[in-house]
Amino acid sequence: MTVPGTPRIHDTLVSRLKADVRAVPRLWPPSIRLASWLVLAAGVLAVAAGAGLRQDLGTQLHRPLYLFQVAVLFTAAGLAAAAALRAAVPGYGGERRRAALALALGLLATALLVGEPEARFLAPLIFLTTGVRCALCVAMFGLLPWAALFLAVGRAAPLDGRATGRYAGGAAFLLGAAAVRLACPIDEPTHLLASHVAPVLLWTSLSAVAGAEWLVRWRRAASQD
Amino acid sequence: MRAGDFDDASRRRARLMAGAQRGEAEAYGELLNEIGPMVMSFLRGRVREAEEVEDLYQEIFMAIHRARHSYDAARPVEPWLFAIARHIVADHAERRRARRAREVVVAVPPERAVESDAHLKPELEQALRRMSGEQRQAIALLRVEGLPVEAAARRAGTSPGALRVRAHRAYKVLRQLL
Repeated sequence: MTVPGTPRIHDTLVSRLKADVRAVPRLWPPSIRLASWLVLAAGVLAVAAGAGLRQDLGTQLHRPLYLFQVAVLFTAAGLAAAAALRAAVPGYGGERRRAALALALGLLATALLVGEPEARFLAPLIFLTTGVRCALCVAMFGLLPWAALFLAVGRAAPLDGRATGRYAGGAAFLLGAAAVRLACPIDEPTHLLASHVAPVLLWTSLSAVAGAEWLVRWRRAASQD
Repeated sequence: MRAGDFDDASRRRARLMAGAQRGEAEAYGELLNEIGPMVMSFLRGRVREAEEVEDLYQEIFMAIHRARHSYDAARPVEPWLFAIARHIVADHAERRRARRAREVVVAVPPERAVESDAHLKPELEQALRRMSGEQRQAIALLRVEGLPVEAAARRAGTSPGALRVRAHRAYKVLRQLL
């Protein structure tokens, strides 16, 4: 039977797809997957607070600017994760608004970090060694949340791999920056900018490249079936 | 369109899609027959060339098939479906723009095209190796021997529709690798 208004290929295509259809496990809704990721993210922050070098964490947590910095970074990470999970489900929508909010909060966090009153400049060698250590720690604390989120979005069907990878990277490494803010004892603004904020941009860009390469593989496979 | 915006037809399609996720072939076939004219009308409004419309139609159906696990049964099918279709059409337009930017228009074709194409030989061989025997045969019958689809299908011992599907997939492999 030919369906009116369809091309000649329709019947062959439908027969083939029908023959190939199998039961598939459904994805959990993005809100549930986001909640799971946030539990993991909170765990990462707890590890950073417990294992970090900051001896005065208790005092710092009573300082509104410090507390606000960590809270804004964590919220930005959560919004970026929500954007990534929504972007991975075709037609779900709302990812751009959440990504824009995450970006705005990321900028706010940067402004708050630059606004730290610490006036002592670090000696160049210390600036460099602590800088490299913190940049790597942003990656280290972000790695597990990134892998979890990247796998979660990869299990769905992201249409724009680069954007989805960027959102996932932003989420994970903003969280990494929040964790490093809890663990790192240095409050000097230049250090915070160069070693806590800049790595977020670097790792997020790499995540976007990985997303463009890996997250759209489900479609390439589709076109070669 | 959100979960609460279902009309009867939309609710029916959502049920059929949920059936497809459970592996019910009849529900899936019914759904594809129902969305076929919708996809076609979407494509006709955006793509001029008939051959491209057919290619994109196949591509959209294949993508729907691969992405069916990502559909949320609590929501209507249409936003999910048209997000896929829109992206595939935009992607196709982007690829076409990139291809056109690489093409050079010449007034007189070169006498010996073979020399300038020599660098493509390894890629072409690689692409041919990546195809199945059936896909290679489809390319040979349609492009090398230049047979019409019906005659080529008879030679290949298959239906014209099936031969077109094989050729379409072979072109995809060529496009990606060359």
